[in-house]
Amino acid sequence: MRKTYKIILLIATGFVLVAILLFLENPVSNLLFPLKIKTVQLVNLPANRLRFRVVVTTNKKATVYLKYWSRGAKDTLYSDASRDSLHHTLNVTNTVAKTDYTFEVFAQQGKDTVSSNRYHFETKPIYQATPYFDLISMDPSIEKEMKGKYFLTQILTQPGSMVIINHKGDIVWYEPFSKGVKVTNWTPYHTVLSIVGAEKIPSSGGDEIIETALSGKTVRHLKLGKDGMDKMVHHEVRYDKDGNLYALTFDKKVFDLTKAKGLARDTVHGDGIVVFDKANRKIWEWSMLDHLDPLDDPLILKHKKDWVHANSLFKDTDGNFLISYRDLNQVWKVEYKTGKVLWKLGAGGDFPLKPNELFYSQHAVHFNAAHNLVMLDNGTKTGISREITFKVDEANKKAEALSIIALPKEYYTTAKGNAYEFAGDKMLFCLTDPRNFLVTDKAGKVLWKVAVGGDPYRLEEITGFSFNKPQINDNN
Amino acid sequence: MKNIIKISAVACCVALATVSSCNKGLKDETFSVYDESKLTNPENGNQAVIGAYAALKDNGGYGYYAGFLYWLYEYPVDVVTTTITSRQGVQLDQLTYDASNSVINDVWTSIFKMISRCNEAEELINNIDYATKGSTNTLKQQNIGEVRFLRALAYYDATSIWGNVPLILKSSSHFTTEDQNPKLVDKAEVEAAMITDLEFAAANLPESYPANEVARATSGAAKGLLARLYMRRGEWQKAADAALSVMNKGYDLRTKAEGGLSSMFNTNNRSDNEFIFVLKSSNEAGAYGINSNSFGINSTPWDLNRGYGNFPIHLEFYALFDKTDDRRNTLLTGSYQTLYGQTMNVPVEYGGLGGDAPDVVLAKYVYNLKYPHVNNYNYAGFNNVTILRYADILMMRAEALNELNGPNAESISLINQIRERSNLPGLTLSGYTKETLRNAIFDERNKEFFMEGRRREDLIRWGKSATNGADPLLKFREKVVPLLRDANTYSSAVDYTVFPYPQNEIQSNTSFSADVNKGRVK
Repeated sequence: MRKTYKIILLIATGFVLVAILLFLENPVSNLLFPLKIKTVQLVNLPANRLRFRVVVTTNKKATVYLKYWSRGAKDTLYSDASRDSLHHTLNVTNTVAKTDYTFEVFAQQGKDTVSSNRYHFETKPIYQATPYFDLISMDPSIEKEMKGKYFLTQILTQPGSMVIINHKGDIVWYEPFSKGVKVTNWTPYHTVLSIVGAEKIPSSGGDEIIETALSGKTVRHLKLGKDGMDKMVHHEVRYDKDGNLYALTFDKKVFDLTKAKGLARDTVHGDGIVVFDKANRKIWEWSMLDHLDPLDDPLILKHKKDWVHANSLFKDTDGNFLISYRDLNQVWKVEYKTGKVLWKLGAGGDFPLKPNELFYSQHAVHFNAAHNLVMLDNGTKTGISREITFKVDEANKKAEALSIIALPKEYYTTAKGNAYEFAGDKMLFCLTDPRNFLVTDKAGKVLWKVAVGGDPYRLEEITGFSFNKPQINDNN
Repeated sequence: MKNIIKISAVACCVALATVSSCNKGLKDETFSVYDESKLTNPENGNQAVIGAYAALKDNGGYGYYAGFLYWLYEYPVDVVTTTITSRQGVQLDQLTYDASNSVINDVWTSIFKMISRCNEAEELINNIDYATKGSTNTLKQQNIGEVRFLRALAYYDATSIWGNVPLILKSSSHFTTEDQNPKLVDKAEVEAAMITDLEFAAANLPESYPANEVARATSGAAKGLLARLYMRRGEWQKAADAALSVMNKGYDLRTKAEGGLSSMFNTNNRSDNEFIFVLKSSNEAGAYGINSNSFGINSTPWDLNRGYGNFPIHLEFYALFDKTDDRRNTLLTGSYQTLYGQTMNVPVEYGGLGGDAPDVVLAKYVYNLKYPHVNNYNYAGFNNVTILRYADILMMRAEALNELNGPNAESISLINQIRERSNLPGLTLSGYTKETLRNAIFDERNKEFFMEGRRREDLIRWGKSATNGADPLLKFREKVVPLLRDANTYSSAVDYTVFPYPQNEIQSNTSFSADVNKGRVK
């Protein structure tokens, strides 16, 4: 009998040990219950021709991602990753139209990696809101460098769209809207921030600010009349480093214009700046109408509907705003704390400039990483559009053009557009009137050219669009 | 015992080896694909509703309310006749139609197309969460109300034309095998479903819309259609009440001061508060076949303004009018200058001006001017096609009250509003019996609503009222037979209150018996 007790005791101890072994994540339990992908569900999203969602379940908490490639292509692409979960929703966000893709699901836990069978999805032709983007030329010298670069632009006519293209001009991501998408900005959070509004709203203006994630989800949505948005915004919307949004607004104020042969109570429309916090509350507001006397403009009666026309806004590292006024051919620096105008650069401004440094109807004025001021000088006086980079000594009010790239006459754009520093020694241009995107070297030689079938407003290079293979810590 | 331990040890090793060998390489996950429905926004609900409205004119041009429905409602009765070039039209006009008549088939298809769109839209809207997607539940109920109104209207026409019809109130996603070949359902059961739909619509539709949405159904439209249905069913008190509920709700008659009835039909008059529910369409080049109706070009004669004159009206009808009646003088072509320079006049014996050749040509028919061929582009007309207007509400209440209790002051006053607007003296209460007032009402309705699709139903209702339901065709026979080219085409064996089911449906719907058209055709 004692023998029987011994055996039972032995078996019970064995069970307890096994239970403990299995409970703890260790090679033995992994051996007995290996990580498995249980289900893979491909979700077609008929509203978007390029995007797919894949829903995966695993038997154990794991990091899961998707590897996909188009037939015959060497490039391997990845979805976003879902970490430490049993249920995973993965987004395929980087594809080109009318292409057959193969994908494989990978699940990883510690050193254990399993993959699924291979499945297919096929992207459809895009017919909504997306005019063509055609690569016209690419200089062989930059082919290698251009590969893997992505660019964000937009369609500002109706129906509008946020659009991301690759270096070949292929649309790889888009998000359509029934209204026009007036301007876009790639955020530090890898989302697309935009001003959306009816085509008839002038000056790249809109009544909505929409932030869209690559998955297509609306991350943030401000609408005129809701939250803190009491005025329409235009031309620019961006995040500052604290996560607040800033934008240009349409503003108006009543002035006595009798001296200019106007009315005693005459309305002048101008521009302002607004800042919204993370809860979409308006936390700061500024109006140029408080800082400029309309009677100084002899043609104020003609201009009062859209006086001086602000067209770009940039928050400097010191927290103050850089605002560009097209009709003044000036760029102002506005102090955030006080709203005071610190300086004016341009014709009639505070900085002495050489004649060829004067700019006309400039757009997209900003500071680059080296804190030099970069702009697209549309050149409405000369008929030549140029990029100008100024070294600005704010304290001593000295400015000097470090680089001027004058584009050939065929690329002249009367309005809109931008020039951004690209790959260190090159320039990226969006030229609205000729409907071209360009990359040039510092001498202005065109190295890359894309023709656009619609009216683009702005083009910027974006980083972090394409997902890399997730780095998984083995000690998790 | 040693053996047992040995065996266990071996078994354990084998099991471990088996399990570990499964670790890598076994890919047995299940794979599935599904489409996310994108129709989940309130905007999509609105699109479904607009799609249901579009079914009113099917593909435009001649579809349903854009034309063919009126062929069935007007040709077989006593006002409108046809030109001899239209074989399908002549069959309807001369009561020689059969199941293969293409117009009957066309209207059947259009009606069930609209019912299907309404059913699908209702399902779609029901599945959209309006409130959490930036809209309101009120709008959701309104959208459902709109499609249920349209479905009731389609069933109204279906039961008017065929009596018993298949009753389908669900989306095709819920169809059973039986629903693939739907059976005929008793008219009363269909009407009960219509009443449920209309009561829902009346409760959930707004009284009016913003100017850019005037063509949408209002609660007044739902109540008005309910009144029309109760009239058809002879439920006079309910009809009188339903008509009353539309009165004092922002609708009124277009007055003489506003230009009278003819100005309401002017193509420059795009909306009016006498209209309760009308078909709107477009006159843009290219709208034909999409979003137009062809009433304009079909109504007027060639020598007036190059119309096709497909709705000629008997001179006998012209003769019914008083000479001072504005409706005769402004909405019928009693006298006009032709394209060729002559004057076209109605002969004196029909109340016209008459005259002699070569300056005057005597008219053989008159034509309606309710759908003027002005501002139209060929077939693409944008004339309003009246489906329900306020004058009908007043006349329905007058008739219902008379059927309930005989002539009273209210009925007379309602009729007189219609008469006086058209420059006629009012009736006086004394001297009318229930029967003579009924006759006066139907004569007045005829002059007021000609070419608006009401006459066929009026004649049937008149016959029913006059014979206590015994002989619905009494008035139809009395009015129609004398105008037939050959009186023998009328057969007492045929029930002209219903049309034959179309041949296409009989052939494709297996639940229809071969003799389903017995008594409906000769």
